[in-house]
Amino acid sequence: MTPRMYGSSIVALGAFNPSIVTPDWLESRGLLGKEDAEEARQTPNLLISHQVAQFEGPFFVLQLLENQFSLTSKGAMTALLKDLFVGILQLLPQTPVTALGINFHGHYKLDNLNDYHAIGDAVAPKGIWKSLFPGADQWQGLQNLTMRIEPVTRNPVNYVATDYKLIMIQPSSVVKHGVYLSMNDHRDIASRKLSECLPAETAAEIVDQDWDSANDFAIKLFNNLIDITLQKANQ
Amino acid sequence: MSLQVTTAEPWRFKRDRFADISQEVHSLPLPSRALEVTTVPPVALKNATNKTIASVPKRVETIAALASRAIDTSPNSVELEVWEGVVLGLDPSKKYMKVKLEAKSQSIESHTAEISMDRVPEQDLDLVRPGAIFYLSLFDQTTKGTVRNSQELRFRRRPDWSSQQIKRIQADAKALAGKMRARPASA
Repeated sequence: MTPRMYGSSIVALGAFNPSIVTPDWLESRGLLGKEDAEEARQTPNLLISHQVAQFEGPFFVLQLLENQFSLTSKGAMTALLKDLFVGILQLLPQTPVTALGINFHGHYKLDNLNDYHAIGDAVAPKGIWKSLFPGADQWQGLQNLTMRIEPVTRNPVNYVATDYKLIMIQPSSVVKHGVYLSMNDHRDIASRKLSECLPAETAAEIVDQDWDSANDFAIKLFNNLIDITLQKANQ
Repeated sequence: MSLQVTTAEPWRFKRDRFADISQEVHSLPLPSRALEVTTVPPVALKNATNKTIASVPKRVETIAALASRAIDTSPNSVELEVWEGVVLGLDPSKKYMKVKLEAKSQSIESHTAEISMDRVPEQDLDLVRPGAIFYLSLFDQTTKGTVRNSQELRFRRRPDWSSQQIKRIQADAKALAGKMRARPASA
């Protein structure tokens, strides 16, 4: 199934200096072309301060706070988004990045209303809720469900997963009879043994190496989730 | 708790409520990550009698929360196919570039092609050289309910090697060279 709309974002947590990252700086360091930088400079909501840097270009929306750096795709050129993120971190290798989220999300249109409801009923059966809220005048519906997937450990005591995935399902806000699926691929940087690379370099390397595979994984996951739930509903 | 199910607003809601509820979901601010910025009115500052401003009435705004609502980041397009290409060379007239294309999302074998330089955005022209990486994307873009096929060719931009990176590579190369020995001559 092909999504109607598909996007991505990359979020890094750490300690940042927002006032450094401006359209001019990105252009001067070669990460933005002249036209892209000009569009970013013309952003109506452009905001550059010691606490916040925020602007958007033709393919991205950048928001940099003192503790969070997020880059969100606007158009379809998601590979450029990855390159921009990697480039910024490579230029600021000393930045203490503690965690990283590689995120993909899509709006999928179902064939009809029955399929749309079938997905909600399959991932969140309503039996319990119907018993709690009985009566014909009560509706039970799924608004948001998040599943956390993390590696199995043999030593569950005091175990804290460093890398995990959060899969979220919601009704789509933009597609009729559609569902919104998102995957957050969380990577912990602080707990890694950084032998030679600096934290920001490590984060850049992870994004650079794993972007394509994470994207492929998300697309397959979303398709499989829809297929499996519809199959279950039709049994 | 890894499973969060909310039933306050139903999945099976009526169509006219659909957009309203979902808009709320997607426009939620980020309170936990909000950045507090204190704004002190200039008049109050002027009237302050001591050197501290602790007693001056303050208006606290969450700029991050405001900023998160300022820009619409909902996607409006979907990639149909993306090729990652590498420039193999330019023809003598510099009107075409010979490239090698590799499809990223489908199992299409890599192949070579010639692409007119007219398709390269002006801002990327100085990046066109043998070895340069570019992306060729075909996508559907939805604007005000209308779906339109589009394509875009953009070159990859990466920072140059930093002096620190070059030093590290040179140190690695030196260490590696130090471990190498001449191959013994065969009898």
